[in-house]
Amino acid sequence: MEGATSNPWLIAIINMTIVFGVLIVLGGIMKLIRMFDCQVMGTK
Amino acid sequence: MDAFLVALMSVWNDSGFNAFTVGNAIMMLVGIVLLYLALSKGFEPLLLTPIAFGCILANVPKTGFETDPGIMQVILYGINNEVFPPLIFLGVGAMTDFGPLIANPKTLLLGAAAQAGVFVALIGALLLGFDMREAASIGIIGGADGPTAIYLTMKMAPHLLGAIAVAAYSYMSLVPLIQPPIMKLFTSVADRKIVMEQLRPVTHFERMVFPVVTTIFISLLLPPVCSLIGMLMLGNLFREAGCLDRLSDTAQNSLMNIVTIMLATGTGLTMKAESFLNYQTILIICLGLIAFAGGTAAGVLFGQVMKFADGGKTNPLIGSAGVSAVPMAARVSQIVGQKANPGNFLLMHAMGPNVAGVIGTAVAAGTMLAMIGPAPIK
Repeated sequence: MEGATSNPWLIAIINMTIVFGVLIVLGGIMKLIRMFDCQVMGTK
Repeated sequence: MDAFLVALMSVWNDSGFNAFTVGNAIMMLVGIVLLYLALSKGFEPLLLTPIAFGCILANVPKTGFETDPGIMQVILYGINNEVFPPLIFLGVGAMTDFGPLIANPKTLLLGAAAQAGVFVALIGALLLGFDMREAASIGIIGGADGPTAIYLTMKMAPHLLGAIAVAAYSYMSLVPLIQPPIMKLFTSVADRKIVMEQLRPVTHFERMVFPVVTTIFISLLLPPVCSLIGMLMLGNLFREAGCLDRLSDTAQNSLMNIVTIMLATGTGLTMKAESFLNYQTILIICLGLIAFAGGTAAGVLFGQVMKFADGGKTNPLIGSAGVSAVPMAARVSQIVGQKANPGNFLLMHAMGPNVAGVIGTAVAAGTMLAMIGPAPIK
């Protein structure tokens, strides 16, 4: 990806999208861990 | 008599006074002012004291710090080769409770929103004539995360390290002064009074699995920040495992203190007059403030969005904690919330976006490294 663009607005938009995307996926992972904990490990 | 004079001249010629410049004197004065702020005014004394002292040491001429083997070479090696920031992250991970974030994952979004300040400063820096790598390094001040700022700057614009580190740590120490006016500007009194529901308890299993899975996911996506995220999560695993108390204790106390001394002194050592005393430094200090304020505003505004989305259950004040600065930004949310409603306890709620901010800043740094690339090795 290095040097893909030098447009600062594009860099800002792509970067914010990735930051939001990564943290949203992390949120999803947390919910999956919680579900696994409740369903498989039997935690109430 | 002649021999005495010759010896005297020889001592003079070898002395630092012989090469001492006005710039060195100004920087020593800067160091003394920083020492005063740290020790007398209590602005982040643990960090600012060694930074200030390092600044004074860096401006003593003819010390050979950069050429002769010795402790200063070890410290500078740790700075130049990004050894210290991941070790600081190990300590931060060991000291931080990720429970509030795991209990309320939607606060991750506040940590993401607060990264907007990074890009406000990045665009501002480009408009002021900095190149892309310099602008990215300046922008990351808005993440309010000293180790990540140092890490990214050493990779992208090492010549700006002194100014960026000082700006980052100075603004982090000024969080209780900078954030409240911005938080009040974007919230009503009624908003600030919102009492949030108590967080659910987080199980041992969740606390153990979260750092491992997060490390694997983010490291695979953004390998350049693997050392930062990996050490943060390893430190947290030490904390949560329950059978690693000795390691956890070392990471959050002895090791953290040793590395803080080295990192902060090393940062001060980069504040040499010839690289620090210029117009760029003033611009960086100003842009850093814009980045910080922008991040705080974006976090609070996104907090407002969340408040509307969940029917008024979220207090938008916790959004300001998305700028990292663990745990001071979360404490500021608590203080501002409690001023509006003495029965309001926002600290644990604000720790969610606070931790998310640390992860978000590391992700932003990794993305910029991947998109723009590190500075070419000279």
